[in-house]
Amino acid sequence: MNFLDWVVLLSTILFIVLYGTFRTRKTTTIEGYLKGDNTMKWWMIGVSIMATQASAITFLSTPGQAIEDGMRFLQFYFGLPLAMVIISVTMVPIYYRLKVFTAYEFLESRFDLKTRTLAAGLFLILRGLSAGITLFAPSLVLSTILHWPNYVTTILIGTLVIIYVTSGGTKAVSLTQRQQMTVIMSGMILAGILAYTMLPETVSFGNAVDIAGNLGKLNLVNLEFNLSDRYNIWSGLIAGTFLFLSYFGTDQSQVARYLGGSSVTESRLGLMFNGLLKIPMQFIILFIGVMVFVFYLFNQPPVFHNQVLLDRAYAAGESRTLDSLNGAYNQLYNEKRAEVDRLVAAIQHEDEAGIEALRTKILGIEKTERMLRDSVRGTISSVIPGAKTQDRDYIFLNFVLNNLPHGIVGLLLAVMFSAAMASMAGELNALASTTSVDVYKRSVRKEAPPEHYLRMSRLFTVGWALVAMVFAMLASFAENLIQFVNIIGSLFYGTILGIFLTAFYLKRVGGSAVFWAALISEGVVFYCYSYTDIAFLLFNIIGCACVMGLSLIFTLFMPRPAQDK
Amino acid sequence: MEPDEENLQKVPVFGSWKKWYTFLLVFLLVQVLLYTWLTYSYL
Repeated sequence: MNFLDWVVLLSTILFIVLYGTFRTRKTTTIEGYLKGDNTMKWWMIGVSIMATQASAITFLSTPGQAIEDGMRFLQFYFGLPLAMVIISVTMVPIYYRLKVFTAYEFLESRFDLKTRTLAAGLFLILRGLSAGITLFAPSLVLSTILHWPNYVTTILIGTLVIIYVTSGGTKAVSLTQRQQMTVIMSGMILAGILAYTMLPETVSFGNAVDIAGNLGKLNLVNLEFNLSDRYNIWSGLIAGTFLFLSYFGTDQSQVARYLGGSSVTESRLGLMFNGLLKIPMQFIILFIGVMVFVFYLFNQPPVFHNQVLLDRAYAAGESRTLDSLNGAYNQLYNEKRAEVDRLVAAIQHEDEAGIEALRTKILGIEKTERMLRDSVRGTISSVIPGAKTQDRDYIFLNFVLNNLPHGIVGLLLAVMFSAAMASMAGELNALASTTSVDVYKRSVRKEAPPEHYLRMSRLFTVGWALVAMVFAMLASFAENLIQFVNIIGSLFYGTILGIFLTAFYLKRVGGSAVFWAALISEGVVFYCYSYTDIAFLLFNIIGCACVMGLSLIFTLFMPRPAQDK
Repeated sequence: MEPDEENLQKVPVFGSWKKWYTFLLVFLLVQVLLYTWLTYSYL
């Protein structure tokens, strides 16, 4: 990074923070803080929904996912449009009719206080953990670039978000997300275009796509039905629908986005907007990863993408081993490059037999490359115990820092921070709302002037930000972040969704039956996670089905009280 | 699943929510077919 990059990065972040704080400085009511002023139009709702979901993890980790695993992750989102329809039809009118602040308020009117508190509690655990992960990713990025300790960068980013969220609440979140999404999409598309322009002149866009396709990266759809396969069309369409039903229908961080609309129509259109654009947006982000993959076929990638960790391993005295592995990797790359050039020629001459032979050869070299990289990871973890040696989340970052022009580097880092801030802001606002409405006002202090609840909501915002910061500083994460955050979601969303679907569709079930069913179902999901190899997306169906099924059974012993019906 | 009576006449573009939902689901189907074709052209 140079001076220009810093100017671009800091001016973008400061503009967003100051704009959000200034525009919403007149938020003086609890309604305004928690719900906005109900004037949001459909396109703002749509942008806000997308910005809340797409954190820095999406932009850091997803391209790396495509580079190493191909584009099959796209299937994960196939259930989203189905969920948008169901939510528009079922949940939006109910929330508007009951004039709720949070999704969990509805549960008390339908069931009882303990069910409302349980659902709110599960949400607070889930969203609190997620907020920590959301903050962890960009903090790590900044600490890697600046060589600052992780806790310094965590506090810096967390503080920036606290400033405008405590000032303006929901409205500040939505306003700033507009700017953030503009920065994000323009930056990412620019990165993809630049990755392509840096390919050799003889390689056309079509050639680049063909190379990626022949080397297995355009593996968008898998039609096989396999319970332990993480990404296939069935898990995406079926289990994904359950996940997104729960996330967009019952998670306060999303419910708050569309309840800020001026009418049911605006909220529904916002959800339609999300349903139309989400899959194409993820396709673009994954495809950018594929372009970076092709770039690295013509430009040698590093053997390990986390340069800071690699430097530490060198400093710990492993230079001989690492140099030897690096040398072998360089040799392999030269071999591969020669084959890739032949593959390009074969593609341009439409030599199918040649393409097939070269494809097999290159995939074989890549297999050897993976083994070499595993050896590097093993060497690093032997000298730095506990080191996170999965470097998939650093591939795109490394590409940006080392290959793109100055100014663009600053812009892309602004993308990461914008995404982190947008997502974290939505999460903090939701955590504060739920704590304030479903726990504090409902159970702790039921009568107080509105100004008191506004003050407490601001305090809860700060409190949850501190919790997220502590979690981000202390936790270490295995595997890659985009999968991890979705695994966490799948552990809880099934049960929460089950509670809501029981509320909507199983009219004879009362509060006690669903409460105990939910507790047992959560135990079942954790059991499946710990002791089976069932793909995590399926936990959403398992949790939901368990809650609904057990509720019906328990109703025989714990019928719904007559006065509730 | 009740229709949103008061908004039926004000639904932009398609004029009714059923048409919106149909459009969204058809768009999903088109995408799935497109991505499937792209995948299998390289298998």
